[in-house]
Formats: sequence, C-alpha cells, structure tokens
Amino acid sequence: MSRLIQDPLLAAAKVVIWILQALLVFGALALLGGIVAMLLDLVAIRQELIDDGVPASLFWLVYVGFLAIVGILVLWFRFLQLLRQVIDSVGAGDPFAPENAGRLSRMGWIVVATYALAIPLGAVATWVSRNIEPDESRSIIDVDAGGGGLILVLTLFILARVFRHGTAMREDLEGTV
Amino acid sequence: MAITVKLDDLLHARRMTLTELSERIDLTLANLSILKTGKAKAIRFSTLEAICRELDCQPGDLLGFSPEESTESQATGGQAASA
Repeated sequence: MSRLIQDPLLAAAKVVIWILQALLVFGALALLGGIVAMLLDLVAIRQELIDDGVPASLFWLVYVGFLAIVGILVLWFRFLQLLRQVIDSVGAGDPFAPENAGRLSRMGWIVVATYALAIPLGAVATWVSRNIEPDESRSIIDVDAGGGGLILVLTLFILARVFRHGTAMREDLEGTV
Repeated sequence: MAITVKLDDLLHARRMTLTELSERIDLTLANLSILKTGKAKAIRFSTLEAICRELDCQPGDLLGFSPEESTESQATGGQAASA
C-alpha cells in the first residue's frame, strides 16, 4: 500500500479503474432493467412494432443485442479487475509473480471476445436502426473495429510473454545471496 | 548440497555474531542465515568479497566441496528422472 502512495501513477490508475468499474456496473444494471421491462411488456411492445410495420423479430434482435451489450460490459469489468490485480502486485513490489502472465493473457482474450461480440452487434444495431428510423441521417452507429484494438491485443499477449520470462528469471534468482 | 559453507567456524574464530556480520556487509540477516544453513542456491561475487573482507579470509576458507554429497545428489536426481 505504501508504494501506491509513493507512486502517483499507480494510485491514479486505481482511482480511474474504480470509476470505470462503477460506470460499467451502472450501465449493466440499467440495461438489465431495460431487458426486464421489455419482457414484462412483451405483448404490448410487439403489437406496437407490428402496428408500425416493423418486423416482430426486431423485438428479439433488440433483446439479444441488449444481452450482448451486458456481456461486453461484464467482460470489460473483468478486464479492469485483472488490471487492478496487476497494479496491486506492482504496488506490493512483486510484479513478476507467476499470476501476472496469466492475467495479461486473459486480458488479451477479453479484448478479442469484446471485438468478436461488437462487430455483429454493430451490424444488428444498423439493421434495427434502419427499420425504426428509415431516415439514416438521424441515426449514427459507430463500431470501432480498427487497428487500435489489434495493437492492444498484440501488446497484451506480448506483455504476457515478457512477464512469463520475468517470472522464470526471478525464480532463477531466488536463493541467491 | 555438495557445496558446504563454513561460516559458523569463521564467525566463531573471529568472535563475531551473524548479526554483526550482516550489518558490516549490508546483507539482510535473513539472507545471511540462508547462506549459513546451506540453503542458498547461489552467491554473488560481491557478497563473497564482502564476507572475505570482513572475516579476513579466502573464499576457500568459507566454501568447501563434498564429493560424496555430490555423487548422492546426482544419483537421487537420476532416480527421480528415470521414475
């Protein structure tokens, strides 16, 4: 804990992570509330969609979309949890603990999973938007599937390898006086 | 371990305690105890130099080699490997 106080970067990182996790929890709970509300008013919503000439299947697509977004929020919460555990190990003065390589690797796979979910979700959102709001100029769907995510994934997997080597080197040094 | 550490004998001859030696060579008492009890896996030359300086001895006075223990540990390792 004392190293966290001495290192403002670690302390600031933990604060930012805490805030982001709180926002993710809030967002997930709000979406879950919306999902429950949709299910409770299922018949009325579907009838309204049919009356507006919108395919009834849209209701289930939106429902599945909401669930997918909740899944993405849960994955990002887990990502931040793993990052916080890495920060804690640095604060404790033991960053090359064996667990950190596994944590970084899992963080990489989480990013892969969120992109795997986000791309079809973006396609569904675009289709839903066009059916509800035929005037495309009023709806903006933004899905980032660019190089930034790929660089992040590669960086995390390479860092996991670095930490694995660091752990092995640390074990070599144990028992050296 | 085939390498033996004769730190106890040297400390007794120089009338020095382990604590005093650890303070003089700036090595923690815990690490010095690890060395004394033969649990160390490696020793830095800087540590060896500091001990020899303070105890006025040669590395050969501090460290010994036991061929019998070396043979035993090789045999044990071989049996473990074949199992």
